Amino acid sequence: MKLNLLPKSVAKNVQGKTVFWTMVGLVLLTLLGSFLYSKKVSGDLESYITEANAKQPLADQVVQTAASADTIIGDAKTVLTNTALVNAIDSSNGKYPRLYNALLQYIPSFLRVRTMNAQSAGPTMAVVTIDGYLKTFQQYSDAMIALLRFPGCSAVGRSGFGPVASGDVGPFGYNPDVAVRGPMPGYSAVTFTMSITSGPFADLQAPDVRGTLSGTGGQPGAGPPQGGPPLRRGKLQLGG
Amino acid sequence: MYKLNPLTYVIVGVILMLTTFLGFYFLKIRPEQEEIGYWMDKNQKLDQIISEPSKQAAVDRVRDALTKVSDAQSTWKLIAARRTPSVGAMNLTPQRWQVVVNARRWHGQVEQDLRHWINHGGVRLVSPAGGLQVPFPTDKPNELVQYYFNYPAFPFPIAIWDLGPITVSGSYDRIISHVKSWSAIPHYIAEVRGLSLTGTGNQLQATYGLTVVAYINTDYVSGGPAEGGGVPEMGAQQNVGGGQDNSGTMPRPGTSGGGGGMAANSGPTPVAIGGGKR
Repeated sequence: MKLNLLPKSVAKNVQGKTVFWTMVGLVLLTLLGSFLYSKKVSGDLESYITEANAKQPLADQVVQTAASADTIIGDAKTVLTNTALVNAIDSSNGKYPRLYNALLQYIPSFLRVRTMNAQSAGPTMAVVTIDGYLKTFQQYSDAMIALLRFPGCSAVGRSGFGPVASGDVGPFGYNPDVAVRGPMPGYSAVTFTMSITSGPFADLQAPDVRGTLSGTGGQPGAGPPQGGPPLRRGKLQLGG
Repeated sequence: MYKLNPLTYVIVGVILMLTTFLGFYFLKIRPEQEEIGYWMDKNQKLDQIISEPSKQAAVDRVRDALTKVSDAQSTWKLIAARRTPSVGAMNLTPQRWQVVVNARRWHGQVEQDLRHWINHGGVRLVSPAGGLQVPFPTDKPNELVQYYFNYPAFPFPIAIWDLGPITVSGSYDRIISHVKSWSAIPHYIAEVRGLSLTGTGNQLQATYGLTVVAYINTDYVSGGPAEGGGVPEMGAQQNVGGGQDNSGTMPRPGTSGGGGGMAANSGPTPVAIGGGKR
């Protein structure tokens, strides 16, 4: 038989000592682990910063290169605007002739045209008004259908069908001094209004010269700078 | 010394471990991790910027810009050579009073050029009845530069004249050719607006609006030390004919009771005074 004559507190002490030092060790380990982890995170951060700082000049160079394109365009704004304006004017000058040349192919032979008037109604709409003479109601309908075939024409309005007095004057039924002839007997003076909303003839707008050139860097308003230095005899550049 | 319950040590130890770890985590690790996130994003963006496609795009952008500018400059050189007044035709370099004289002489030349161009197209001018008229330049030297030549409102002197509706007569083909030909008029840039055709015979009439633009081919704009480049005004001696309203124009001498205090003449074409040649 084995007797343990030591008091219970002795065993407790031994147990407590072990747990105490174990916990101290664990705390120290935690401290060390946290410190090392923190050190690693700091190192990572440092490496990312170093990496970014190394890339930054290269990136700045690329950005600067890209931005220099804007500077090139900005410095040449005057010549670019002037050239674009002249090209736009030239293109605009051909719009009406192109429209009328194309329109003539869609005007039926039985419609005797007196006036043709094309007007811009915005960047995407042109309105063409055709006054002319024709004889029968069938022609009146056919003319409208023919005009509807015009490229981009979305609507054709018509009015005026009904015989009117010819109003002819002069020795042979008309006055040779007047360019516009009246209707023949039994004919009607009709008006067709075409709305062109798409295609190559929808935009008849002409460039706004003053508005366009105002953006080329002149001083705002039309006056010398107030209180500024006197106008110097500076070399002028129309562009290139 | 070790009389406490072991469980107490365990609890205290765990608390200390947690405190230590959380202390490190919240005070050091987490802020740095957040910062790492920021730098990672930044690195990613920088990588994108310095990537080869991005570099190439930047170079292409510059090349495109240079090409665009170079093309525009070449085009403009041709335009400037053919479609702006010849060098010296309207010289803004001399003293501004001389410019007033030069402007009148040049104005007459412009009207002559425009009328000649209409006749050249094989059509007949129907209206304006007195012939095509360009707004007459003012006799106020400073306003002339400021409003007639729009300087320094625009970075270069330029005259812009809205000549209003013009009616010409001729065959359809000649009218169409005439309208298109405004794009080819030498020394000027002309813009046609709102063409309408009238007539049923061979002789039609066409009405359109015409704006003429003249880029002034001059190296300098005269400017003195006073009034921001202007010259002293002569006050009562000027503007005898009245009608000037900061437009840079004035009534044509001989059409409304007299013109300016100098270089006044009669008839639609002004007398040329002063030097310079077209």
